Amino acid sequence: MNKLTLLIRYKLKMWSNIPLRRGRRKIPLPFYILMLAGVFIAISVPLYLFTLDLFQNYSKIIFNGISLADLFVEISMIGIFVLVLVTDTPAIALNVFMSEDVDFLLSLPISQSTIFISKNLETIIQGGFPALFVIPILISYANATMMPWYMITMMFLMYIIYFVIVNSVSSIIALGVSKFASRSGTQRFMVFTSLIVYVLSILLMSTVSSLNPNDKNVTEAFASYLSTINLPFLPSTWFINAIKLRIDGLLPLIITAIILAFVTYRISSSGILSGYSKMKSATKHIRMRNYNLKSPEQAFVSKDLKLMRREPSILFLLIYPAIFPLFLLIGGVMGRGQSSITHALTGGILISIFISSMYTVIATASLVSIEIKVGEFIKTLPVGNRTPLWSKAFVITGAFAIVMMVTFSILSAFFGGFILSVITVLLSIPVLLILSFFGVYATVKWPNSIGGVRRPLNTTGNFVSMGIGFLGALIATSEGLYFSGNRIFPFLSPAYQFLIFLAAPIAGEIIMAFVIFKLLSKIDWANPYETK
Amino acid sequence: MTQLVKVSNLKKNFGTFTAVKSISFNINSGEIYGFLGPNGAGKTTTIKMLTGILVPTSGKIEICGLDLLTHPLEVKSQIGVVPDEPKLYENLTGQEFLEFVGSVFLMDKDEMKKRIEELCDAFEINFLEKFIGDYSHGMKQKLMLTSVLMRKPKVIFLDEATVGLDAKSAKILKMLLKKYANEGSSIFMTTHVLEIAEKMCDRIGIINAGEIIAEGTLSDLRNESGKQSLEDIFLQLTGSTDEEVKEIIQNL
Repeated sequence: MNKLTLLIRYKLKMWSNIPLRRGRRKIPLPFYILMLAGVFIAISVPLYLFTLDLFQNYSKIIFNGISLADLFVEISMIGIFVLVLVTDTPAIALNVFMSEDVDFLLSLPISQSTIFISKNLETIIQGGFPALFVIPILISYANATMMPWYMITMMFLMYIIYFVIVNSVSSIIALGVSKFASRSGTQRFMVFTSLIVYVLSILLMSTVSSLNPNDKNVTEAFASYLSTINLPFLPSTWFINAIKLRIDGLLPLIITAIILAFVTYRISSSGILSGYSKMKSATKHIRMRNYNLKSPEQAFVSKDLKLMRREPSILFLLIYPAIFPLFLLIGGVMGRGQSSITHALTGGILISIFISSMYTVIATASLVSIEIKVGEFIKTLPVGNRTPLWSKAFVITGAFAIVMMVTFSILSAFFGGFILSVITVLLSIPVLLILSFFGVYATVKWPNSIGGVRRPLNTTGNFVSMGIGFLGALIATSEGLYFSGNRIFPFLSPAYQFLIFLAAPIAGEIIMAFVIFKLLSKIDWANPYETK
Repeated sequence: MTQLVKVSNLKKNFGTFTAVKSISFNINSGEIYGFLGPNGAGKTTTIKMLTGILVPTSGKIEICGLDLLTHPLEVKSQIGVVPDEPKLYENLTGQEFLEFVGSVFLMDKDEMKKRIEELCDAFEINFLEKFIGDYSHGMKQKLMLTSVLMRKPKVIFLDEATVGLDAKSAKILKMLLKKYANEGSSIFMTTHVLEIAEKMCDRIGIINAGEIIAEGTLSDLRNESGKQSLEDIFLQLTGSTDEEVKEIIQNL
């Protein structure tokens, strides 16, 4: 136990030392806890209030002894099971079975089980945060159904047991994953699962927030789910029965948790020692490979395209401009009217341009940071110092423009407005290009030496980039707004509309381009990555 | 004999700290030059300046008759660099990386293909279709060596290139370097394995605290120091005697 405490204590020490490595003051642990608590409260209170209203209505509608409120809790539990499973499985595979520091820990006189528990706890602390958001839902359920205090305590105890089941399943799958998947593949998979969870969460939240508890159709639809959700072999069903102190819930939940925890503990502890291979099935002597040679500039663009395509954090940023117009359109379609669809389409196009502008800086910075990581190799190549950096700006601008064009083309195929889409995308390309160049400048000027590809800029860099990105987004959106025949200021004469929404933004664009290129020229291009 | 590398009064300051203090040396065509020194002596800083990775504070570097500072791209197209710790694009496969290097150096496709196949056979490289992020240190080192040797550059810089290589690959590398030197290339290599330097290098330069404290063939160094083995010569020149080392061991 002492060794477990020691391992956890040093892990916490390493986390709290991160700001020191970034050259900032050390942040005490209580401050971190307060910060997380603040985030938790900020999300939990509205969630509690919303679900309280929902549960008060749903607890009155009962089918076969199960209320709709129970069904809602069951759905939440299934949701959290899936969410924790998809995010924790690759995280456990990486942190427990594929982690390089495990090799070091195994060389110390510490038992495998202690190492397994400490690494697993680390993963839960890092990745289990979403599971906390079930707590306000459970509290509002308890309030709505007027549970006594001892049953509330029991409910939380059952939730911990439920979490043990989820974590055990994740650990067993992770052990399997570590035996056949490569480390880089698992890392990519982890970011993609986060993305899927993120998109699903937003869709779920937007669906839930559009539900009206008094709407008869909604309650009837929920009732029809009963036979699908409330199945006797699902842990979520055991959970809802267990919090009502029913033996058909308590027994399977507790026994399954004990068996799974024991099996996981035994298999996973010894699984650490069986190791993993970074290199899977290298083929023997493949001959006659085909090599595609290009010009140096094309080679850089092709390489950067591949790196961008394979970097999930950049893909993550590229997906936003495609997703948000969809949300607006769903709202527009639900508004049931041609004018609301047209408004939603215009709004979707504008918000997509706005998001693209905001994220162009950070996506370029991420791509440049990959080059910084490789560092000296690039300086040994016979190419100008600008080629590697310019290729990145073009690749990112092109990628955002293509994402917008494809999204708008699909939308306009259903809802019209193709010309507006083309005009706005074309108008936004110069802004995106300018912002990309700013991303290059920002990475060289304000690099985050330990942030990696996901957080390429330091605090100042992030702050300035957000400001510049916002300015660029305003310019690009204003131009789009002008061509969409905006009705925001109907009292303005056409001349003023032209001046405010087109002439001024274009002038702003020119000034911004001038300033950014001036800034770029001030960077020591001969040694953009030189260690200071 | 043609001098492919000419270095004169090369100096590098990092703020107030001088890492390299005005060093000068030349490397002839067909020569393997060993650059030795204790940790922190200035070896890597020197190699970085010679390969255009770091800009010197002062001094002149001429490679293949071209000034590195005024003609960096022309020089880089004629040299090959193998760093001590190969940092490569983790999300590219080995094959994609070689394609990229071949394209940047404007290589002939058929020639490149042939050279890669030969080198893959020699170094037992059978992982080119895998992502570099999944390679071990030795695999990365082999890939880096392939990307340099496939071009047959006129001047090759190697910083601790044998680290991470298995015995067979290290032996092949040493023999290949000898072969390239016989064909007229110049090799500049740093190593801590004095046996390698002793067996391979035509001339040796020893750097300590940013200054070249000895230079010449192995027999020159033997005559100057009166010691036989390169290890003894190295320890004597860098201020550590055999007795001092023994005393440290006894006190441990």
